[in-house]
Amino acid sequence: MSDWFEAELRSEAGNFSLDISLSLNKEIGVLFGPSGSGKSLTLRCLAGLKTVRSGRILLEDRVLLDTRKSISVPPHKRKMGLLFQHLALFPHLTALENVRFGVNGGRREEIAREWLARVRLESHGNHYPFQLSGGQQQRVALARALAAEPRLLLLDEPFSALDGPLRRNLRRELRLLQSETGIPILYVTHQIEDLCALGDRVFFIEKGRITGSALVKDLLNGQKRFHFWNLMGWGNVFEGEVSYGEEGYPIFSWDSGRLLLKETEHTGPATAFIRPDRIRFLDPRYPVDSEIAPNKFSGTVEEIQMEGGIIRMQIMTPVGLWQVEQGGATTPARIPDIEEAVCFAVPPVAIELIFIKR
Amino acid sequence: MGRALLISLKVLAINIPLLLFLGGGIGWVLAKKNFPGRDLLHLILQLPIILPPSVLGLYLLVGLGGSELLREAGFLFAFPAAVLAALVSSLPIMIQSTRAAFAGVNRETEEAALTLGRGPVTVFLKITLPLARRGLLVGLALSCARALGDFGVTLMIAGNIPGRTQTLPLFIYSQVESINFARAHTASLLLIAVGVGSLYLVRKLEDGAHERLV
Repeated sequence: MSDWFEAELRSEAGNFSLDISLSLNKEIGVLFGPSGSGKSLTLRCLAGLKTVRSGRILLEDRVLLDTRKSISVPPHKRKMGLLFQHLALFPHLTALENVRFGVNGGRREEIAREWLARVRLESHGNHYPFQLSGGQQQRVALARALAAEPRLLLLDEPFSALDGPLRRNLRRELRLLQSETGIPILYVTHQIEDLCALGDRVFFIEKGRITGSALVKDLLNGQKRFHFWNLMGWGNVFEGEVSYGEEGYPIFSWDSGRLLLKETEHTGPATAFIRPDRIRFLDPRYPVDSEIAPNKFSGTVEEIQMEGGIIRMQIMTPVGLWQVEQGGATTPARIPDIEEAVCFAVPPVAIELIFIKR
Repeated sequence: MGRALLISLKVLAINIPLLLFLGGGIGWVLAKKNFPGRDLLHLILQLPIILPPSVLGLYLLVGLGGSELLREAGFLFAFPAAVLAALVSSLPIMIQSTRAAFAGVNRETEEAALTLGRGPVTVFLKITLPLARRGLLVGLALSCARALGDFGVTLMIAGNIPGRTQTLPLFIYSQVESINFARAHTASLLLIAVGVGSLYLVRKLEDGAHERLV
């Protein structure tokens, strides 16, 4: 089966090197990896906004890039839409004018109106971006990107600034639009929820390399799911069960431990995913925030890696081995030693749950 | 005074398109293009702001006087030299403003426009230019006020020839020299009005700039 889209890229930015190869059918692909793994750079290279050292991009039956044959189609002729993290709406144009900007043909006004209606903003056509809410801006940006009829849509964590319910709605809308238009999507995220809710296929990316790919349905339900979680090599994953504890609070429990959750919609068997960078490293001398106190763990440091400003630690606790990352504002005053006893806590909001369908 | 005013206005009228295209173009290149020596070029282009006008005028005089062609054409101490003098002193201001205005246009906004299938020229005209417009107009207002008020460079390379190169600032100087304060005051008030007017315009434009760009 020949793929709709194939890309091989090698590029450098400073001392970061990117070496990516991926292929996609007419589906939603998710590029999943930690911050700084080269996800956004990959999208910029694909869209032609960043020149690559070598590589080849095929989309549909067109060659967009082939460095060996010195072919490089400029960004405006690639027919590849890119939805930026910060949306990049045109601030001096109304919502309708924003959408109309990329529309071709004679019925531009009409087509732009149709797209606004599809994202349920037909009554906001005359509003400027600053007059729209965050979610509305997202929908305008999405309509604008799709109205230009791209052959592939690249999304760079466009929902990352939004909160839970709004994200869920937008994800649902994006899925719906994708199935209506059939435009394949490559979606970049470091959030497991996005991956599970949106993707057909996932590519794991780390330090500028693709470390593996899988079908999302295998990742969630398949026999081999542990293999994939390990492939990801990043994050704390526990298989367990969500239930209401004796005190009436929702908890996630697995063979050796339990975590207090924020409110939850479901109960039952689930996989909990906790990003290492959202774990709070604690100073034993200070009292713990009451909200996170129930999710406090103690253990010993097994391994420490320093990378840029980020400290990556493997901490062995009675409830298993944890990956904890600290960096930026949360950098501890002192870097712990190997085998030092340390404490950390998991904020309930940092626990992402994936409910397993049986 | 009428003749001096007319010459000043003619100098300004020729300078406005030059400031827009030359100043705007150089400002755009400095803001958007990355090339070796860019910072040095920027520095050199800013020199006229800090150099004394007489120094600037002297070297322009020496430089231009050395060219046989320009000497024969009667460029120096004639109207074209008055235009050049006004341009040299006002261009750096325009470059500074346009560079800031173009640099202030978010690169992602322009890139988004490209990925929507519009070519670089369309993106410049429809996105970059409208978003930089206020900054360009501020630059134009400030540099025009500077061009209109130039004294030192004009005196050095165009002289003070009534009816040919005597602009309003030089006219004021001549009137004071011949102790004719009333006419000097009238001309001065005119220039003050222009200065205050352009500052007011700049203020209005800068206030307006915050309206839409949240």
